[in-house]
Amino acid sequence: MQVSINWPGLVQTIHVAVGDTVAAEQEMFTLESMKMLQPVPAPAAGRVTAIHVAVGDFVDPSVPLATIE
Amino acid sequence: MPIDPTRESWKPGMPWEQAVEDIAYIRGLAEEMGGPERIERQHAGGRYTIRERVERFVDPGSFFEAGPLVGAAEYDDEGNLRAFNPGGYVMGLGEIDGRPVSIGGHDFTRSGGSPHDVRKGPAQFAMPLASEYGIPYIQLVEGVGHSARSDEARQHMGLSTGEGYWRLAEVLRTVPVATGIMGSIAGAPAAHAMMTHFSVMVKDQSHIFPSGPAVVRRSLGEQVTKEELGGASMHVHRSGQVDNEAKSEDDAFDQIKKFLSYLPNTTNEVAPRVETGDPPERRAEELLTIMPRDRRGGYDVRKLVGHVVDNGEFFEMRRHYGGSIMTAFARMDGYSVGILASDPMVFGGSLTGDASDKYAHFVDLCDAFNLPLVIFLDMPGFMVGSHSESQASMRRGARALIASAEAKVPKVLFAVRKAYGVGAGVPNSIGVPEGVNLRFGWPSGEWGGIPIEGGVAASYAREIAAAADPAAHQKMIEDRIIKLRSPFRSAHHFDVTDLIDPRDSRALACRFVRLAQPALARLAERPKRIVRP
Repeated sequence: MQVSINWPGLVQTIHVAVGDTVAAEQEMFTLESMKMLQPVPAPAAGRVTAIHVAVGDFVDPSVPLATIE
Repeated sequence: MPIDPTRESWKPGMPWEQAVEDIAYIRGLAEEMGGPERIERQHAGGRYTIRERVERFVDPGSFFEAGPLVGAAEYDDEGNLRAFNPGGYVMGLGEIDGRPVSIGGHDFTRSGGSPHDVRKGPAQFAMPLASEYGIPYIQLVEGVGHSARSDEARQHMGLSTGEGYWRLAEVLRTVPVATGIMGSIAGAPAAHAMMTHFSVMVKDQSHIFPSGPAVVRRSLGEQVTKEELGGASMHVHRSGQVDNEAKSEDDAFDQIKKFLSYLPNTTNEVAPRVETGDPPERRAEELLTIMPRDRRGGYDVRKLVGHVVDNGEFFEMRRHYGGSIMTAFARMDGYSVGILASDPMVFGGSLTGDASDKYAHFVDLCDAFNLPLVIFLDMPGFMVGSHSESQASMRRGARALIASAEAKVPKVLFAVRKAYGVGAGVPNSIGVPEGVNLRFGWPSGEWGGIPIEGGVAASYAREIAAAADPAAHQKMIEDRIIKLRSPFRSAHHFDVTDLIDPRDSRALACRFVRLAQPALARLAERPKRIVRP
């Protein structure tokens, strides 16, 4: 399952690493968008299999941030 | 109770008692609707029949039905009724908690609400009842629109004058209209459903489109289910065509009742006060600390609003669309108000194209029904970026500005945090020329024409570029200007009516909403425009 967002912003913090297990709604990333810190929660519980972005990247809805299984 | 083929119908000269019995007999036939098989199919789909809907909606025993005897009736040569098929619409006068309402809905069991053999619809009673008597109009829509069978029955295909929509437009000008989309609807019923002040659809049950999947497949070759095409995920969460989503039919009824409870009976009246038991001077301690000290931090705007309004209760409209602005109805000291509040957790609270449309519609709605606006403003300005541009954000923002300029209802605005640029000018500009422009600043407030981040870089670009250390120079200018951001400085200039303790927000809002009541009564007499959905 892809973790994605519906707004654009800058990746500020990445709270998880590949291999981590996450609970549903757990904050995986923090983005800065419109000068606000916006948490990106896990859409479901699972194991992080890939992280597709780095701190400082511009991301928008067309870019998946991570993949969880 | 199928028709009795041996029954003798009343004829002139027979006893009146028999006539009265015949009325009851044919009413009984009408209650059979489209027959047991069709009713069973309705129930199997998890849906109520229109008669069950009306019964569940209105106060027990309050329903007066108009035209129950309307139907396709066949009499034999002796004048005895031999066949009766009721009309495809049930309507009349009912009450909600003792308040009269006009209510009607399609009988889906009768050829999807469009029987070709009888003409019966809300324009014949429910609509004029609402507009002439000045009572809310409720439409429970479940119809598929024009049936090709009627063309065959009439032996021609008509060229519509379109006048059928005028009456509903007139109803919209005069009284509250609320719509439940109860099943899959298309064509004219779908258009009627959208000619409303409030619409709600049942999740996984209701669909709305001009034409359903079969026509889409025939016209475009697109393979799509009716849920994908016109379900709540499309129209509540994506297109914003339908205001709210309900868990069940009963939930939809409750939402309509709640919506109507905040509105007056007509656009020329003021909503009556309701005793809520919540003291106007109540101070919620939470308001002092709800705002994070990191100005990039979020908070729950619904909690904020809940601390201010009576008993923490509000009814939110279009929650899933244009989410950076929250629109809701609530009470302050028992008086109905419209709530507009920025949600910093969605696009940072910025004005998007969708949020602008939502804003403009809600302001028009409150202005039409003479509801004062209570606003909690935390807006960084317009949403920026290429996606936002593709949504025509500035043109749609201009619609919001025009809605503010046209609105005459008073506002009480709390500038709780950010208020930057044209975007913030949208709610700031509600008011009358030379008016009091009631704006209370919280100590967390910060505002201006452009935020310092970005603003300095743009306005001092050449100076910064020419500096030996541009980054340090930019920081120096920013530090200089940041001191000007203090809300105390703008309070010295009367930019706000007052800088307040956030805990006093409720008492102030209640006081000015109460003060506004005579002015609202005068505003109610204005001729009203139709609120475009």
